[in-house]
Amino acid sequence: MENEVRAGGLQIHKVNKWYPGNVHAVINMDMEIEQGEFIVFVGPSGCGKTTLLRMIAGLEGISSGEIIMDGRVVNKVPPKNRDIAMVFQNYALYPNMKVKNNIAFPLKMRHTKKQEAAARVAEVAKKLELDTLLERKPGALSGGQRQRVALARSLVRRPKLFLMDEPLANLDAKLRTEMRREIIALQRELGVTTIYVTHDQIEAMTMGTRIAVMNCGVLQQFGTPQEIYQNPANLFVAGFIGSPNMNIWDTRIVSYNAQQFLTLGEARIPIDISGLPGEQLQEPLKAGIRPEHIELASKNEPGAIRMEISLLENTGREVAVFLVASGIPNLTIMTNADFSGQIGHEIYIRLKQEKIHIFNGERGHALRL
Amino acid sequence: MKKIFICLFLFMIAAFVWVPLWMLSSGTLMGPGELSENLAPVLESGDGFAAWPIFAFYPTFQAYAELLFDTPQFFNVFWNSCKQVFPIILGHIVLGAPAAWAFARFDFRGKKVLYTLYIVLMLMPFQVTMVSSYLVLNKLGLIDTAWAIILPGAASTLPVFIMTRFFMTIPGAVTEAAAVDGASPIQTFLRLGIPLGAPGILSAVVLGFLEYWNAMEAPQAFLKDQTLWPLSLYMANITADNAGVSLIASLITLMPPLLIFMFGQKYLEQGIISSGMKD
Repeated sequence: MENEVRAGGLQIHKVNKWYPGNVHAVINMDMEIEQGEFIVFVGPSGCGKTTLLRMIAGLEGISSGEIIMDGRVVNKVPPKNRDIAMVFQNYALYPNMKVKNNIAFPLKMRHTKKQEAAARVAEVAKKLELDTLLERKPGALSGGQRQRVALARSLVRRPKLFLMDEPLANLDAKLRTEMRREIIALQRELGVTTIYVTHDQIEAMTMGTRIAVMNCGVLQQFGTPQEIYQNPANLFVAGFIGSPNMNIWDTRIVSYNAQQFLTLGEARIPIDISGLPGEQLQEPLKAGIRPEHIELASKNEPGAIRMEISLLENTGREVAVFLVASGIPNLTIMTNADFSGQIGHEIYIRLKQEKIHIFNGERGHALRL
Repeated sequence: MKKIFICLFLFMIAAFVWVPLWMLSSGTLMGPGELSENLAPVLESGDGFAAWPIFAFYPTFQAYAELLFDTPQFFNVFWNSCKQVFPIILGHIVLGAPAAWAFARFDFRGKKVLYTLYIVLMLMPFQVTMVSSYLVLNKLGLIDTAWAIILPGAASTLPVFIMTRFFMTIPGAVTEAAAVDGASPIQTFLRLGIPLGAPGILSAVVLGFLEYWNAMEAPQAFLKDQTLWPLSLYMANITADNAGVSLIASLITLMPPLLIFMFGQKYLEQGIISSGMKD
């Protein structure tokens, strides 16, 4: 294997994890992570993201494949020798130690001089506003404070790699938003390669420089938030990322007067498929469009589709409008908060043709337009 | 009002526990005459029932003086008990705690079989293993030495069982965090296992102390030399005409376990383990 030596770089090469009982939790995982990147593993629970993170940490054995840090295969290297720091979902603070000793623990274990350790604890405590809590024990802290202590403990050293396993999952919404920004700012400042596991797509989109979307142990797509959002590689990614979900329906390509149309139930949407090989279009197809790519139209506009409002979800900033019509799949659209329609009203919509994604209906992969 | 009733109720229950202790204490202040008068119906063939006043009518420290100044063998026996029980407890901590940690935190071949064996050994009463223990100790030339009591006691399986249960309640994430933070398995045991398992260790210590402080079978079986006898055997051999000394000796015998328990109680608090985790 030829591996360039990169500080803080991480390569995951054909990594597999089997659990007893023939459970294949992580399947042929391949990833190249550059120094300083903020990588988010996202996926539904049980998708293997935490298992992969634990394999990187060395807390879980690797059934096959290689994990390479700085050009060195670390499969058999114990966690303490991997130069990593990890934040656990349930914080995993040391309950018998004061906050300052919790934070200092990684330094103590690496025989950092006492004075230097104290200075670094003070520095990181100040950064995370823990200075007044240093003498307390974890039992006397709130959830948010514990979370910050866990973060401080991982930050106190300058590891090659930060691993974070859903560190914000147990916080309330407001604190979560705050901590999210804090973590992003810290990571940008320190420039330490970070792998962040979450099932929350908002966290994934806002935090990651690149996102690895996983499902059933398989890497579905690995790319920037924009790539993942704008060009989902398959139906799973299309459906998982984005809220409200992408509208997805079974479709066919039909020709009429030398013009190609995409079916939307009984409706027909003109579409340019010149870039797609014909044989791919013979198989069952699915089409998808994000709610914000469906526009309101006027009654007389050519191609406008008439639908009925079945439900409204007003978030204050915008309104998700759920539409039904006979012979047409249900659709969700996003409109401005000043939308005046009511449940039961008729409205007319138009799909932005260039924003429609087409997928193979059976295997789910995207057919690029 | 309700509170007063609850207090009264609890006080009554507590009184039941304290009555024998009170009787013991008040008895120590009675002279031989008063004692034999009170106990005559039990000890001699008197009529009626034994009577026991709440306070001694003629309080005297005579029995105390007799035990403390005229009964040197009492101190010898007391020292014997200490000499046998404290090394056993030390053994429980030094041998038992690491064994328990291994059972609770590591996966190794044969763990289940070994643990089952431990439990089986724990369930066996002394009488079952007495003969085989005797033969082994005899072969080792330890019969009639304190080691005959100390070595089997120190390797007892009950404390391992108790501590294992406690160590198992320490969340895996805590020790994993330590591993990531750079702690070796031994450091993890010393810095996290012992402090977090302290309630379990203390429970084992308190229970072990009570068991071995009061043990009679093993000393009786393995110690022929009476100068090696611990308090438990000595107490059983004080005769009725020496009831006063017996009562004080009982009181003194009671002190170490009581102190151990009072000391241990502080550490027997539960719930500290999970306080490092999420709410």
